[in-house]
Amino acid sequence: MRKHALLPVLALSVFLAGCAGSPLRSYNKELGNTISMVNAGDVKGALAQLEANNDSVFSSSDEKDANGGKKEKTQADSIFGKDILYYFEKGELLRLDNEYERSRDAWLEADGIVRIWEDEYRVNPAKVLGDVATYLVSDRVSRYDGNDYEKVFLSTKLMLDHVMLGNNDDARIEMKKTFEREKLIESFREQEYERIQEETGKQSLKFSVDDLAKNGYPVDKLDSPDARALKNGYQNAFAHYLSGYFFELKGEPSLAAPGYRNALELRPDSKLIRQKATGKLGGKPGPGKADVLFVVESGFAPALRSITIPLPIPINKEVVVTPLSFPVITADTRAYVPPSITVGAQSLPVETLVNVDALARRQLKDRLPGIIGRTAVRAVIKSALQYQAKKKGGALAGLAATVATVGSEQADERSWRTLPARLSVARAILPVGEQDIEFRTRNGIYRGRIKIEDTMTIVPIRLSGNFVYVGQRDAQGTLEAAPDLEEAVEDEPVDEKPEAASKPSGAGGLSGILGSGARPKVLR
Amino acid sequence: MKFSRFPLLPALLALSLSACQTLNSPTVGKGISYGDSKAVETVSTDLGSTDIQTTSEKMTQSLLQTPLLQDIIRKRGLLMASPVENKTSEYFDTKLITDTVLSHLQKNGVRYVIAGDEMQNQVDELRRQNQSGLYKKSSAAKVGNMQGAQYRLDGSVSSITKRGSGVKDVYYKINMRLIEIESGIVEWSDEKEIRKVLNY
Amino acid sequence: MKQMILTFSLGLACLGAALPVYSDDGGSIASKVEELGRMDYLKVADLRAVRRDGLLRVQATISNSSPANQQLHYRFRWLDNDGFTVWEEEPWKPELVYGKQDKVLNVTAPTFKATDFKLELQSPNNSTSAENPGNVADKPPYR
Repeated sequence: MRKHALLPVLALSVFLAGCAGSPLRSYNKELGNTISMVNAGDVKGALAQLEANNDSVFSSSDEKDANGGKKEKTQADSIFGKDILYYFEKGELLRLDNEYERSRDAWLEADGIVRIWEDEYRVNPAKVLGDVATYLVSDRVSRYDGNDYEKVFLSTKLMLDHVMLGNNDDARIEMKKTFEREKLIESFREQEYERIQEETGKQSLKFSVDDLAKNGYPVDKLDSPDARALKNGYQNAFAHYLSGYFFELKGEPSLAAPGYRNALELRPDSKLIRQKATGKLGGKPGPGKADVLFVVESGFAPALRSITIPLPIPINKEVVVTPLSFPVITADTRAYVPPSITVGAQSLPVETLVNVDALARRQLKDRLPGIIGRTAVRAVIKSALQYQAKKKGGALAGLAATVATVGSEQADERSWRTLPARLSVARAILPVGEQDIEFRTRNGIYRGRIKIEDTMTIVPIRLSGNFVYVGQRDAQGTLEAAPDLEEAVEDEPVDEKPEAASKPSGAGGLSGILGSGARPKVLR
Repeated sequence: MKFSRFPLLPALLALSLSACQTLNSPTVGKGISYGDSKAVETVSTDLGSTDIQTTSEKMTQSLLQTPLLQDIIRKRGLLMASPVENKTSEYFDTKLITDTVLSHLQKNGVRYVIAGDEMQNQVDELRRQNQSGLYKKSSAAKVGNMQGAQYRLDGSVSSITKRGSGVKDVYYKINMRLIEIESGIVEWSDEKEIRKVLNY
Repeated sequence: MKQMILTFSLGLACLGAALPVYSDDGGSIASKVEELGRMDYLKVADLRAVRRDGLLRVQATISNSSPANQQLHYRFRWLDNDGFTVWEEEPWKPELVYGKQDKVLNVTAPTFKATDFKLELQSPNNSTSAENPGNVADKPPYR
């Protein structure tokens, strides 16, 4: 099915290269604008931009069929229609806009696409695994099913949406689905690994990650200590912690305990998790109090970039240097995690549970052997073409062919970009009612007011560029630049904990000191 | 090869049609069928239906043999149960084991009182009947008549998982205890071990 | 379907037998055991039952004649004096019997009402023949 679908894609790619809906689009370019709009606090503009980018010639914007029923997703839809990335980003943007219902709907669309993949794998694992090794065209042309960690993140985020909307039953289902998904991915990766071992054993041409490194691929960027410390490239400590929180508050310690325990396995150094994983569960917060979870997201997931590495491919006893493209991750160090959140008189420590940056590196590192395998197969074919051109037309034609291959070879740079770079949590038992919160951002101190409900209260906070989003419908707050902070925070390594927050002397004298970019803003 | 089979097909069809008529089952849909709920389930190494069933069965049998429990039945004593604690990393509702053991015990005449979160519903209902002013005084359940249990049942599930190349071995140990609430003495305890091996 | 015939024929056999008394090796083992198909390597070597503290206790020894490990699935059906079941259908229990091993299964009835039982046995290596679809009454094999 997929192989057939590829043919028209190839043919069309020629005139579609510039078009937004094209599989050959440059995803980074597309999303760059969207992200800077989010950074400036213009979510609505970012959404409009996203819609404009995805106005494909193939997909009808109408998601209903002729009878008004919901259209069934087909594989063609997932290739030509609005792809999973569109729904990933849309769901995230809508969530930042506090449109939880629409965000959930967008993510459910994405979930449908992930489920196509899951079902395919369950029904016919050999076929899905077969695809792993048989691509002749660049990875970016293939259907994007989402990265492993994105798939897990998707159900985690859906889970959060369900909780925010108060649909506890749906949240419960989504939680179970998250962990089934993790297991499925685990089994897929295990089998894929064996498959790739087998395939590369068969090939006469063998390239390892080391060969890539020798030719200029920045392996050290992937093999960073934080990426190595992860158990794998898909499991999400926050997903487990959230289910621990959810089930604990629902009075189901037998399901909460494994949540905390799994989270601890993934983040053994977290005090917040350890406290729950080893302590007794099921304590009630007491009358007039609620167990509140702050979910602090900072920055944006790292972008994948294409890097061209010339590899020597032996053809007819002649070594032809062929330029091949590989994805590489560019670090996003702009994420800022506040060291603590002050609620009333209490200062709550903020702990980072998920480092998406490290996850992405780890995932790419784990998948690199497969990518090399696929690229090598293509290389042999392309080298043969080059060789023919060289033989017939001399050096000049050979050069032309080289240029052509570089032009058509671009690594797959698609990824869910609006995901945060860091996901952190803080948790405390707080009195019900309105509460003042305060925390540091890169641009100063945010002060706001949140509402704490009687039951489960989750407060999503997103620190993005110059802006702070608080995920409560009527939350209000201001970001005040603190002159003595600006310097201290500048160029600070992401994870390092700064000194205790020093408060600005007063709001009155601020406007004079502030630059135009950091004016006090009223936030939703 | 393929073609030679075709002439046979109508003949075969005719034969089968004349031999018997298809009898419609009272079912709708296809692809889903009801399995045997008592069958041995070996889908994964996770705790599953067979494990719950055999564990609760063993616990019930073991409990029934205890003279103390027979005494409780005779004297119509009261039991309560704290849900079996999940000490594994699996999302598995171990309370199911407690529920099954309790229902098995009840069939043998053991009386138990509710506890934990179910208690909240009970309290809410009592409150509604007595404080809402909607109920007739004579028919409303009275406050202050709930009975305390003398014995408490609790337990836990632990696991050890080992992985080698091509093999995954999971060992489960399920432990249950009957404790006299007043004295804290463990009057009975038993355990069930389960080993599950996955070769791939 | 096959199982239905089996259960039915056994039910008849059971009614005719009316076996309330158990002592060591009291009745015939075959009358207490139901095999699904015919087990080639496993057999019930010993079966005893006693009533203690109002509960029926059963001990069955399963011996494996083959040198290879055999998988066994078993369950009990608990009956009263009149042959009615007094407990819900039990789950099948998996048991591994090593080559040449005698495995002792020791169970207690889950209810005080049980006075009689049937032991259902199934092994994946059971053989069945089309002519004789597992009708145990036809071939009381182990005694």
